[in-house]
Amino acid sequence: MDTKKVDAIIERHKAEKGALISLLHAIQDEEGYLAADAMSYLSDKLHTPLGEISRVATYFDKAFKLEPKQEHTVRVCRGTTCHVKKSDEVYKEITDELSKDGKGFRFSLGQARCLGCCTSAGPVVEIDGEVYEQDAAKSTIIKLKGEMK
Amino acid sequence: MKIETIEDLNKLKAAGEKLLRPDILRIQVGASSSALSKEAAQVGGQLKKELEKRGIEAAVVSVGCLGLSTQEPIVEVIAPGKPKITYGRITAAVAPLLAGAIADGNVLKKHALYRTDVEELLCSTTGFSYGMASAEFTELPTAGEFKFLKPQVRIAMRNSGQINPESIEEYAARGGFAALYKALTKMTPEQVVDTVIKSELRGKGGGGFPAGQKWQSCREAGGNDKYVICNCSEGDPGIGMHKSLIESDPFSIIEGLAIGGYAIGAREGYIYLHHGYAAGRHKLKKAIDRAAEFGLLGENIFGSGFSFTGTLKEGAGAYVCGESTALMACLEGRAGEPRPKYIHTAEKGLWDKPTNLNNVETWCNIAPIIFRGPEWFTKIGTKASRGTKVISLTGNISTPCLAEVPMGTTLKTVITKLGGGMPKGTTLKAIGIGGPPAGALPASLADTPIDFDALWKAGSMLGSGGMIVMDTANCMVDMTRFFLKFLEEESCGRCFPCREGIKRMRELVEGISIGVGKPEHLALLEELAECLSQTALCDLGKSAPNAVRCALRHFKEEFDTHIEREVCPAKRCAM
Amino acid sequence: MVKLTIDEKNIQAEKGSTILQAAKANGIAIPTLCHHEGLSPLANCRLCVVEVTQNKRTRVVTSCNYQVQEGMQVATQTGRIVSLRKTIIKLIMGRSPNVKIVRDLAAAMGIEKTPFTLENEKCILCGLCEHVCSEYIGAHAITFTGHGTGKFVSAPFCVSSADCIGCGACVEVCPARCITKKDVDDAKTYYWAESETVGPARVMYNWNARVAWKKCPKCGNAFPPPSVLPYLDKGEALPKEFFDICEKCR
Repeated sequence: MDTKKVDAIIERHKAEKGALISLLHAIQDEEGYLAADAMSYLSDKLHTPLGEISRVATYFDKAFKLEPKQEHTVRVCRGTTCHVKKSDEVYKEITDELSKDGKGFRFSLGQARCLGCCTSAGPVVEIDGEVYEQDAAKSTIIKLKGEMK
Repeated sequence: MKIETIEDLNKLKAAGEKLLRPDILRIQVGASSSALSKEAAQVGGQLKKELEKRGIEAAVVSVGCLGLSTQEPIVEVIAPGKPKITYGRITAAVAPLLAGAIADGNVLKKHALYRTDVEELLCSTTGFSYGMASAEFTELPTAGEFKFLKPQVRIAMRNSGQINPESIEEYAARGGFAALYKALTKMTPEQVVDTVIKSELRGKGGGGFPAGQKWQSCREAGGNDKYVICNCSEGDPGIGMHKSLIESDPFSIIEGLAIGGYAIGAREGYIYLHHGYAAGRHKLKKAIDRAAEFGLLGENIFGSGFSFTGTLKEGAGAYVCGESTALMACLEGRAGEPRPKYIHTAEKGLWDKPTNLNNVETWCNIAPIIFRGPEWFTKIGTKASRGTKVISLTGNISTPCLAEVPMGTTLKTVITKLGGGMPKGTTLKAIGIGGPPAGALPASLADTPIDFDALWKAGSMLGSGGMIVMDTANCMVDMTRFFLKFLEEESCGRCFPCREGIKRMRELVEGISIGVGKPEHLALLEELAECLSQTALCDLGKSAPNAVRCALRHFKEEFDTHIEREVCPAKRCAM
Repeated sequence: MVKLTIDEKNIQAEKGSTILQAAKANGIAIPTLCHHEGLSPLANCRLCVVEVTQNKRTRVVTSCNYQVQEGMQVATQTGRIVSLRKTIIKLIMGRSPNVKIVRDLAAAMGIEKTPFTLENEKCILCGLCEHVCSEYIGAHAITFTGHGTGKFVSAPFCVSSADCIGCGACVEVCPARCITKKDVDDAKTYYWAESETVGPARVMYNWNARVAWKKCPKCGNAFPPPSVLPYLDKGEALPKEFFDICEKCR
């Protein structure tokens, strides 16, 4: 953890009331996750008990990651519309694809509550922050695996 | 340039009119932020190049979302003195054809959807006219005749897809800030509250509580520190709805919020949305900064003595944070858990101060209501539900779309007239409206009007207005399990009935879906439903049982088949 | 004073008091699990629900945090209320069937078994430990991790709780009796890692904390943190330097 970076983040938000959630997001955007030492440092600088920071960081378990990211993040949308379009089958297909060889574990596979692309033709999948329709998603995953050494 | 007088505002308006109706060609490219938006951005640039090749200069502008996603990218051509022509499906391949048609002064008939000669503006006494139709345009339907727009009354979506959402000038050209001017310089705060009460506007976030009543309670609460909040976080999964308002017309949110602040006596407004929603963040931040630049946010707006600041605040995206006390906890930087509401947030809300929270769609209705007066609003909709509702139509439907219809429009009308009906070879089975706790209504109830009371009587609820159409390939036991699983995962876990109860309801329905359900499980489900609806701490727990009750009321046979014959007729459940 | 009725009995209660307090003061028992009189009401367990009728409107509310109002009529044992409480008990029994207070409550309501598949959680998630530690003691050494059914109480980020002062208030308020403390001669032998604590200490197992006994400035003896219960039960604040001077010398 670079204390200068965290100091800069705290400085940027100093005028904001109740800034903890914004601060955690800013730290995660910078480092990719919320590291333990960053959380202790934040607790000291803000004079906020570590218990409160832990409460907020772990309550929003989909937003905040306490461990470093993997190389690729895949999230299959599980909103009602995508479910109606059988996104659970897409999830299964991607799980199978990632279990085929040894590279799958370098992907972090999860489900998103709703990616907001509900008027798309079929269920959607987010890969490394970009949204794809299911066929494009599957071929992208195969391509990414191929590029991995 | 600070806008301080009506003359200043009129100058801004005129500048916007010059942008909307320039002396050269104006091309508007619109798309929602779906997977298609990248293509839309490219089409605009391509058209500009193609037109330049033919010696034609054009201003190409990105506008927001009209709501007709199956026709995207939508391109609108505004030629000086001619009606605006709206085209659909202008892909990269079609762009050269369109450029050619424009150069020849023709309409590309294959892709033309409708024309607009003159448009009535809700926040202006004068309409906006493009040009009268001459012979070659009269074949095209007008906007009012176009089948997608005909059933609609666009109040919250009045500017969606019509303006560059980042341009304060274009917003002003269509009447933007005229309502704020009227409120601050010609009305007292009490008169503004009274107008909202008389309009009978009910909140669009799910609760349907009369907005004016909330405003009045907050106004009457003592103290100088009060807050108004706009909830922009899309709670219900599967609708992608409020994104459109946020990205297509952010200034209307700001104007509504400022009017609300004036009425209630709040100097600070918060706009709350998920951190992960980058596009929304950028558009709103730009709009807030721009409004402040022009003095329409900040100190002494319009010289009225009223000062108001809008601040964007980000949440971490949990469904339960749509509940007002949980949302306020997030704004305070705490975990988003609801608190008991025996003392209302209108008296003790954000930081224990009187607070008024409304949904983004509710705020987008405020400016027209103030400008036109409450009687105009009460003439639209039904007695119990005045005005309109933005409906997101998705699922197994031919034309998924976003539209705004008068309350009272039936579900069937939305499906057939706006949605183009069921895709060929499929049959309507159920219509979900209102999110997971609302369950779904059967096809036999498609004549139910979109109205708070009518939907409640039918066993569902209006909620956010996201309509999800389900065909016979769906199983209602599976959907109920899906809704319960969603609510189980979103429960904050604070109170016992909701934390333990939703899980147990989900286990029971899951058991039914995999063929191990027993007849007595239905009685146990009802016992849990009664317990949660009466004793849960917040509306997530209180309304969760409705997903089960609605399903058992309308689809009991399907549950019985799963239990007694251990068969899933739709072949969706893993038996 | 406010005039109201509880179970058709005329009651007078202090303005600003809750229905639960008014009932208790008049010998009317209402079951609770997450309530402690010295702390502000949590309203988590929902067992204390009652029916309240005001202005011809009847609602089900939690009595621990609903303030008494002039003319209100409260009913604590209607058929509906008893039925709701039974369902809540059955739900908790499903989660924590082997916790004594849960079994006692079930027995008192005549419930023999729960229809739900049994888990075996020792903690009922009432929230009292976190509540006393933050609201009364001010140490914030205990927190909730996660949300929903997966939620649990822990030290911050589930590591050793550096803010714990070893007062044991959490042990004393826990209705499930699942928090353990032990006073030991030498903390170093009681844990896996880096305990700098030497000499007598109090080990708080649930929060991974070893807190050294303080030395009394007056008599020079090391002493364990005293119990806060005598003050907490009466809703009184702790006297100054409560943890710094031993009981004998105070």
